[in-house]
Amino acid sequence: MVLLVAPVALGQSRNIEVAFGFGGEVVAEAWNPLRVTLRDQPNLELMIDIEYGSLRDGAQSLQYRAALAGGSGLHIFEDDIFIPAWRSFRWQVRSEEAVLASGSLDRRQADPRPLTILIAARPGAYRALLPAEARLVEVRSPLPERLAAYHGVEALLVADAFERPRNEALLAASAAGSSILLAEPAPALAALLADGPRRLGAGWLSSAAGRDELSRLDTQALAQALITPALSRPPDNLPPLNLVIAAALYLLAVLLLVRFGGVPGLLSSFGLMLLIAAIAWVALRPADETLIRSRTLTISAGGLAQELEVMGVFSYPAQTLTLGSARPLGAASWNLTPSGLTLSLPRWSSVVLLARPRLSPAGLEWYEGELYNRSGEALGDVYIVGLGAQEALPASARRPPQQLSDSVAPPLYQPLLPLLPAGTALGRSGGRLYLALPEGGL
Amino acid sequence: MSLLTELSERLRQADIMQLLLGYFALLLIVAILSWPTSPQLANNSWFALVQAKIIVLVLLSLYYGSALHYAPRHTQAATVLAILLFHALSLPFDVATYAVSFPATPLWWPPLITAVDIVAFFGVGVVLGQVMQLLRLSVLLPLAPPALLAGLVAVDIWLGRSLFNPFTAVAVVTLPHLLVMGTLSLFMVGWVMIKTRRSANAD
Repeated sequence: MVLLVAPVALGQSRNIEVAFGFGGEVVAEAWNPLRVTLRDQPNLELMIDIEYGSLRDGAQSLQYRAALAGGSGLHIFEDDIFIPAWRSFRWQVRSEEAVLASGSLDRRQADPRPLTILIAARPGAYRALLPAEARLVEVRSPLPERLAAYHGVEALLVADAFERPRNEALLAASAAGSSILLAEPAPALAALLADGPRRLGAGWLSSAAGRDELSRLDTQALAQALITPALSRPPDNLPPLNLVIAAALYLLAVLLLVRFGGVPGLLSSFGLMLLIAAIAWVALRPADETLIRSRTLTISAGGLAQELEVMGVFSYPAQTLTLGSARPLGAASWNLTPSGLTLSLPRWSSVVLLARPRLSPAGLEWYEGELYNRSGEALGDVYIVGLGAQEALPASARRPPQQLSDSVAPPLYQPLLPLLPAGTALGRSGGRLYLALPEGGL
Repeated sequence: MSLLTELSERLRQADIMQLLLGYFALLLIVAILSWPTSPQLANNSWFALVQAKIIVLVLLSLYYGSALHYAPRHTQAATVLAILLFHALSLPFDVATYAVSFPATPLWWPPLITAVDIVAFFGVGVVLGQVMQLLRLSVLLPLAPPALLAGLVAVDIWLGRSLFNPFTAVAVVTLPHLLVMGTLSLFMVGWVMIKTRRSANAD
């Protein structure tokens, strides 16, 4: 373990090990697994400080903080952290009194290319199965069983591993969009491959020989395609003409009361002022100080699904928001913890967040040649790439695809269509979009 | 004659009515010009409005204070109340623009500090008028209030803190300014009350 994480293990003690990514390889601009191992240590804190940004976006920083539960014996902390293409990356594990371990990643290690993970006791025998340009990393440690950990993983080649990965880890990777290439599939998985490669979630399950047939779904591009200006747009202001009319009427009434009303008029004008102030507050003050609009995309195949979510957050006052685990696009400074994201927004500003991808129940999917709505809500705007628009699909309904005359894709789908293979079905219910990938090797 | 009746009479006088009309017109113009038409633009109307209000009301207080330094105390009291009423009657503008601008300043601060500043600067104006008369510089009285205000702003800049400058104090809670202006206001109110009681006893 210590040898495998050697590039990141500098500065850490024998009893505290911190590992980023897979086998010490980190994918920049992706969610990466993080694992901290403590042996006989008290409660500690992990602090990661990342500076990134560009000339166009300016300097940006990410702080990650996590409490590490200690005690006698072995304690392992695992999480997934979004790592941008960093300019500086420093971490430390500290108690209240002292820094017990620390380290950094060189900026030349910031590589956005996705990983291809090779799990094999004799890796040399399987390298020829993978393309020469693949960013290959050999992993022998247990694989995480969290979907987000595989955000930057293109493929996993599982060979005659002395420590065969758990099926849960492989399925999480497949749901995340990775291709699982099995050189020697376990019986449970071999049955799934009887008819050739098949989609599971956003990825593939295939024999190692079938790798060339597989096309990778670009889930990052799909998430970006969900972003529209309307997502973080504030509501319209009151038209100035309405303001002029209301103010003019009030001022006229006040002037008349003050000029001709004497003392009763004076008191009435004061009462009118209080009334109008109360009405103005009720009429103009938005109900919520923060507007959060969300759009989710559930990508399903083979009973597995990944949910991508983009959120547009608009804040009227300057405030610090705590949200679920997500990464902001373009924020100058943000804090991440295992429980979520904290960021400060200036007054009257907006930010778009990309949530950490997560496993989800399948919504819309292909089942025995029919479209099956498992989402529990009626789906409208049903559309099949290559076939066209379909009738709405009620909850829990199944229907074979049809060729209807109206085949114009809804505007919301337009940015998604170039990224999807033929035979993909789309449906939506409000801001929730469902995507059913064709199961076969289309 | 009660203070309310005095105030009502004062408000009917032409100078105050014209100023009230002009003041309301100015606020309306400021609110409309600073009101964004596109939702993409931040609504900063409150910031423009409170600045416009404080400038007008402080200048009015200084001018009326310096012009009425010789007037009977009840006239001074009615005038300062009239200016306070200007402020009070325009509060719906404050509330409406605050509701949509979401400034960090609490809602109660600008009405409070503006009211305190009005009374304090009226008192400063009274003293200014008497000093100008003593120095036989009454002819320069129209220029004195803005010059004094500029001087106070300069003193604040020189000191590096907001003690006298009403323009910065209105948008940010500034306790030293409240302390200084609150003390001046209390002096002003106490002075008017003592003088009014003495003249009432003399009558």
